[in-house]
Amino acid sequence: MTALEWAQTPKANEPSEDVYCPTRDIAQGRAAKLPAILGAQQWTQEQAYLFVSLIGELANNCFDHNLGTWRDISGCWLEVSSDSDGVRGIIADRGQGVFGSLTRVRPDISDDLQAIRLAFRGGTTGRAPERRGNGLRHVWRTLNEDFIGATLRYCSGVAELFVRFPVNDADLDQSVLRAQTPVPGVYAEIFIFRRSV
Amino acid sequence: MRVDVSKFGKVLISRPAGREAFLAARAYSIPKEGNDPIELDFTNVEVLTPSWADEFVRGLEEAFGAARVRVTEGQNMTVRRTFETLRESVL
Repeated sequence: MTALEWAQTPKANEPSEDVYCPTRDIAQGRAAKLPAILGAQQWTQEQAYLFVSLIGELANNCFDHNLGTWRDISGCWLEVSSDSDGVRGIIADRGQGVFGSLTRVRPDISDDLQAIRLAFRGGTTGRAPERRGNGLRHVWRTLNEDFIGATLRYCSGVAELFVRFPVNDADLDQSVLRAQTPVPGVYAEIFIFRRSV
Repeated sequence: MRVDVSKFGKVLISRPAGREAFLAARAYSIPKEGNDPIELDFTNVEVLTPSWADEFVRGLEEAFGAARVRVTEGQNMTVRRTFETLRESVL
């Protein structure tokens, strides 16, 4: 089963140990080991550190917005694979999704598509009045400024964002489309080319 | 006084860890007396995220006053991108 299938399926089991992070500590521990792993695979220090910061933010979101509200399986699927072309990072969860989180504080949000657009624009968080809402904006900005050719796929509910960077911020709205198969929680996938820095 | 932020870890990612680092810094790293500037030096940090930095820096700013807290970013790109994002978010 792939991470996407795990995120989409109505009834899931815990993923295999090598990708499953049932708690934040485990996710953080795995992320902290990534710079050394990527370094051994000839990624530059700067590439590795930036990539880990993105994975870290995406993994944070799984726990920040779903503690106590998981639909069935707690935690996240965290998978990183690297080859001669690039490195791919996947984070998925079976939580409440972006729309479910944001509509608690912004009941005016109409659907999954608008929720994802707002989340990547920054400044909106389901945990208001806490000062949050920077994470996905940070992912967008970093990919846009530091990784030419990188791709980001981000699915939640019936919405799917797909971007190949660099892009203009104004392109955000048209990058979010209706997905064929819904992801009730979140599925995020980043691919960074070796030649992209 | 200077606080070497890498002493809280080289890979600084999660919000709860940032909060814990703030509480530890407030208790043990910052003198209770005086009004000297507090320099937060991120030079030796390897990976930073806005979540961690927000809890740590803003926590110290609220505890000791924003005017006393100064950030030295260094050359690490994750640190620079993090503070760019946080500066943008308060505009």
